[in-house]
Amino acid sequence: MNPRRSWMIVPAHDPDAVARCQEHKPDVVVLDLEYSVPPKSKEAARAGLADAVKKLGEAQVDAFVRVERDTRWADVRAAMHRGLKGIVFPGPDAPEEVSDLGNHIAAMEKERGLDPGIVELVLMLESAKGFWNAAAIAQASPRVTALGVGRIDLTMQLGPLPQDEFRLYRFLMTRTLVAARMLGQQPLGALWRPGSRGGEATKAGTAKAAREARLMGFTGCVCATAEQVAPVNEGFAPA
Amino acid sequence: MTTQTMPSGADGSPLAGEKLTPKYIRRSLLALSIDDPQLAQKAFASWADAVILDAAKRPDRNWQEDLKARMPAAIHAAARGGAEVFVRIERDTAVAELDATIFAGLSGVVLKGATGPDDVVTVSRRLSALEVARGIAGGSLEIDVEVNTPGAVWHSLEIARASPRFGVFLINEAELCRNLGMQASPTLDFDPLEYIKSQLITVATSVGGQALGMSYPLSLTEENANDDAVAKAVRRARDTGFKGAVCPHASWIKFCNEGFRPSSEEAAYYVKVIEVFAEGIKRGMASVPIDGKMIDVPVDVRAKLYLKWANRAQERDDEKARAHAKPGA
Amino acid sequence: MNNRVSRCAMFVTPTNPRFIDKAWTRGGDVYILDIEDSIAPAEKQRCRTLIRESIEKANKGGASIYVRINKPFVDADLPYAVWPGVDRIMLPKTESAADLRHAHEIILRLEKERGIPPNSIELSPMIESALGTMNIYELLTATPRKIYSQGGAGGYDMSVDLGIEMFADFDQYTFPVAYVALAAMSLDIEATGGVFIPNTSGRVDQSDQAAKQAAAFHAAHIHHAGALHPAFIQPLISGLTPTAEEVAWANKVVDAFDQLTDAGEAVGRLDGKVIDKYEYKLAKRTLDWAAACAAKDAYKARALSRAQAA
Repeated sequence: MNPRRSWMIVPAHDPDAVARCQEHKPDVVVLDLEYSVPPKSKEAARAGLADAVKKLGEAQVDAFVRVERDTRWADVRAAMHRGLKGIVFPGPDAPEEVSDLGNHIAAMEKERGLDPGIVELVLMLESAKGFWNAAAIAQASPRVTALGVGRIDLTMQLGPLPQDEFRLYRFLMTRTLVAARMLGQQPLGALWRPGSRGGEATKAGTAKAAREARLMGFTGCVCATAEQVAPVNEGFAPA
Repeated sequence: MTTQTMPSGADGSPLAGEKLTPKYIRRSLLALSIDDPQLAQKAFASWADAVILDAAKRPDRNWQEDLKARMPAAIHAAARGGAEVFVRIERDTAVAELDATIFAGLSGVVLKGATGPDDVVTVSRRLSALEVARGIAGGSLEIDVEVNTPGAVWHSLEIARASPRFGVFLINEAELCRNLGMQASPTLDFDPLEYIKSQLITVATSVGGQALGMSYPLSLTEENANDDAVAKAVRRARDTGFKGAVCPHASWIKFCNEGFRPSSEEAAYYVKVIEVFAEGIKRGMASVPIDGKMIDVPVDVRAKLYLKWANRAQERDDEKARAHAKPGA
Repeated sequence: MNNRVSRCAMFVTPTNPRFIDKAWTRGGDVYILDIEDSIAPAEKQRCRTLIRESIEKANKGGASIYVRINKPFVDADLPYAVWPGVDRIMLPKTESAADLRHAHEIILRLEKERGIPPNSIELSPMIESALGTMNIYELLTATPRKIYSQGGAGGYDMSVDLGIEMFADFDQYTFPVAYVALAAMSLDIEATGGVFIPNTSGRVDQSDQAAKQAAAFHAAHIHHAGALHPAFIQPLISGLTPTAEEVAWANKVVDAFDQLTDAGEAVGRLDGKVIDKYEYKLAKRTLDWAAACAAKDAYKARALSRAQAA
């Protein structure tokens, strides 16, 4: 398996972005149906997935699709095509949600003639419920191959501390790391700091966030922008 | 160690009477191999509060019979300077190792590699049988858990609650780092195990036990650092809640013995707190200031508990001194 | 009244008329009538008998009233603590669900006897030990009563339980604070969390410390703080109230996001900053909190002028 350091978010409704995403050399391409897709473009994004997934698969690229929590059933249905490596599920709260989605994926594999069990599931924790139940959630489906720390400063409204970090951030990273390592899954996350995080992060801030996360035991993270791919690849490269 | 309780104070607070802080005076631990020809001398000269015996399983002979023959003498040798003696066993071969190593004179076992409560239950059952078979007081052998896997961290509460024999979490930082995929060298400006250490301290305390460990970065470098650096690191470890540490160098032991207990200055301050507060109570006051800090019931409770801790540490030192002074020792 | 606004909950001793009689003039959001640690053992019984009259004295300025009782004397304390006008009972050193259920049942009986709507008095388990910390989830789900999570951090009791000295220059309670906060958040229970600010002096009367604390809490989106000294009241109240600039910005964000939504977009920019559903939620929360603070301040102002006229 290729190393999976950088998980680059590519808006699925933007054909140009999809066509050119490999130029940035991400380890993983995450075709997005969630945050980066405006509601008015959601249908177009879904419709374009069959072609995009097929092409990326043929190019031996690890292609994932990030679904939206509230519309995950239809999003998964739109994503399940030959060439798909897996589904990124942001914000699971309970184990049943994961096992149910795993079953839905299994049914779709059958319907679309894909090898049973081939589609992976990657969980990005984004809620207090999710972190509280982290191990149970991550064990809820044998498809789960990675467990990550999502955009928690935003989703959980974790404000900045005087110590130049977000409240609870390292605790939640540690909890995710322990659960992922216990279960043999890839831990995803970066030590994003106030003022340089997610879509707003600078190159230097991204490299630092990735490097610190690697030293903490993480092996990859989501890149909200194309510019973050290079510093993330560098930050997660073994010293 | 005696476990006599404090007479509860006039304040009627239940805390003062019920709890022993910490449960064990076990500030410094030294690991020694039973194959070490100098085992007895090293244990004696170290002044460690506890010795952990490691027994290699030699593949070239019947290792169980071999260990059975050698353990009683090794335990005796390790205890000569007044140390408590433990034997370290591996989770995967725990039962066979217990059969080969458990003899009178041990305080308990250090279980390494546990990933959940079942591992502790298995060891506890075997210990009960061996206590009967080998003339050891029932339920007296302690189980300490050396944490080196993510499973042991995640399930720490179930592990600590799995048996009344549970006493202590020890943290094997180098192996835990490796098993978490962490860099086992101190390259960050914070301790990557900070929350895990705090968790193990909290969990162990919640069942009346304690946790042993060192502060960052000495915890990872494990270097034979200069005196000042070791003393400072011990102080920080104590302020985090650790009650002792496994010492990779015999040079650490002195600082652990001195540092993992209230200092004589602190003990003198507690005496003052207790006196001043008692005076205040007599005059019907709920709190009394000393140097701008308010002394009230919880502060008084702490002073009493910690003064007792200081005294118990002193008793432990005296006990070891007597062992060293014994003729033939 | 208006319990959720407790920017500053100030401990007062019912046995000290100097504090009780003046409390209403000091502008606190909440006064905690304490029968626990600030009351000497010999004074406990006299203190119990003073609670009822202290409620009316302390809430004259519109403050909410909490009563902190004693863990060993729950049965004896509660009949003196559960009265109309009491908003919350604080239960120190809570360690098990049984502790909480026991208090809940006594409060329920007293509510019924004294004409207080059943389950209207809130209950706040104070987490002051390792055991309480590790049992937090079962504590928070133990009773049907409205629960607020309190503590998990610091304080003498927690430090004694862990066997540590206080006032180190680093955060000694990283796991217990975070674990309690996560449990409460996972149950949507409002928690009074904390932010570590070094205080190696151990003094509790410095108002610059209060301003520092308020700024740190406000930045971290924490709305509630406690105080042991009146010098903390005003810095905490002003520091934890959204500023006019913050309210103005929040209004702009809400407007901008509404326009985005109308246009079928989800992410946009405003004055160079990203505007999205997260910023929108945060802005809504700011506005909601500002409104609650304003309502509390208005309520207090009316109560104060009534009390002054009387």
